[in-house]
Amino acid sequence: MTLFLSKLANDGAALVDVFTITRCDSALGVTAATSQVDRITYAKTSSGAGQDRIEALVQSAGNVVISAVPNGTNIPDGAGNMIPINLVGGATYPADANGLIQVAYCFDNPMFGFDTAGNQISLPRSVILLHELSHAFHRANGSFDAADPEFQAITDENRYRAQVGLPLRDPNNHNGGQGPGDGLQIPTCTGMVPPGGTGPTGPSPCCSC
Amino acid sequence: MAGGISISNIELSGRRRGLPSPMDGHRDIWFDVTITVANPGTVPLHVISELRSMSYDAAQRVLTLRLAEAKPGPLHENGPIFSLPTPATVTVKPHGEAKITVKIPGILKELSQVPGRPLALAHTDIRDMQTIRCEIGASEKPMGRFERADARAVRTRLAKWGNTISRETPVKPDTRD
Ligand SMILES: [Zn+2]
Repeated sequence: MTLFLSKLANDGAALVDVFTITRCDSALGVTAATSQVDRITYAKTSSGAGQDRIEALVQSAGNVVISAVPNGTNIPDGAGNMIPINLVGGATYPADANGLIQVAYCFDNPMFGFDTAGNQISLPRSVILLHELSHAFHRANGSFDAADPEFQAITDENRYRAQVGLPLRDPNNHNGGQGPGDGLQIPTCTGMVPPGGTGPTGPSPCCSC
Repeated sequence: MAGGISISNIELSGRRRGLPSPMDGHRDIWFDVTITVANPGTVPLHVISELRSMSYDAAQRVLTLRLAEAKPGPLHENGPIFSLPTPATVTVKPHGEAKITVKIPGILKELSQVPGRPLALAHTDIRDMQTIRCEIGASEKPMGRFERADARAVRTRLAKWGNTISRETPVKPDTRD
């Protein structure tokens, strides 16, 4: 009953982003669970929207698996099509017959959303993950707003944005696109060791021959 | 005819390599596909300029690139939640043309749902492709902004927007690793 990182995908990138969401809380741990997933362990030692959400997920009655995948990975859209994950940033799949809720997100593509003035603002990779984990959290806890799930997730996302000093997203505007937006990044936190310069203003997958 | 828009050329680039993965140093192989669209008419045309979906028919060795939105279909019970952005478009002037470049991976990665397990990640080497098929949506009308629309609503609105044209071309990809 907790939060897992898929080793079939890029578990290192996912761990960095979960660590970022907890603002580098050293209480975050990871243990081997199966050959396919690692388990996140966490009892927060500091508070904030990010830490609160990860701790709640770890203590949740549901099982949530995170798959971090690169630009160009195709995902099923639930309507019979395969779509590039970099088009949508991330997606959350409802619990399967075994109760597993799946979160997939793209960790290396610059993306933007909109603030209430209609300006393009960046969606750093940990923000994309936090947003998807909001859908997963509400699914796992029976609080999912089926009538307006994006308003619910963007509202949660904005609590994290406020924590890290990013401009807030318009919860009534689900639109966005590929590109750096305002280029703002999540401030690094002490102890964080990112795996490199990937992210909204980091290197794109192309190109050098 | 999408108001007269046509695909005048489809060109596959040489092999490109991505920057080293920060995790393991691996460098993915990519190609650019440059699609030239022409507007022989007298009014500007709005053309979708980003890849909305792709698929590979390994038996026929045909890669299909869709710069057009899928039709709205019934969502499966286990379908995901995601926000589908309004497609990016370019405007092609009367009697003008535009080049649209999309990046495609040499190794196609696809996630799939497997009950009780993490999403499975399949890899398909598509460098044996012999044909690229492009589908592009275009209209005389701008697409507009779909601010509160979910994926199904975006597709429902786009189903009434413009037309989709297609063209195939034979290709010989660079297969070096
Ligand atoms: Zn969402």
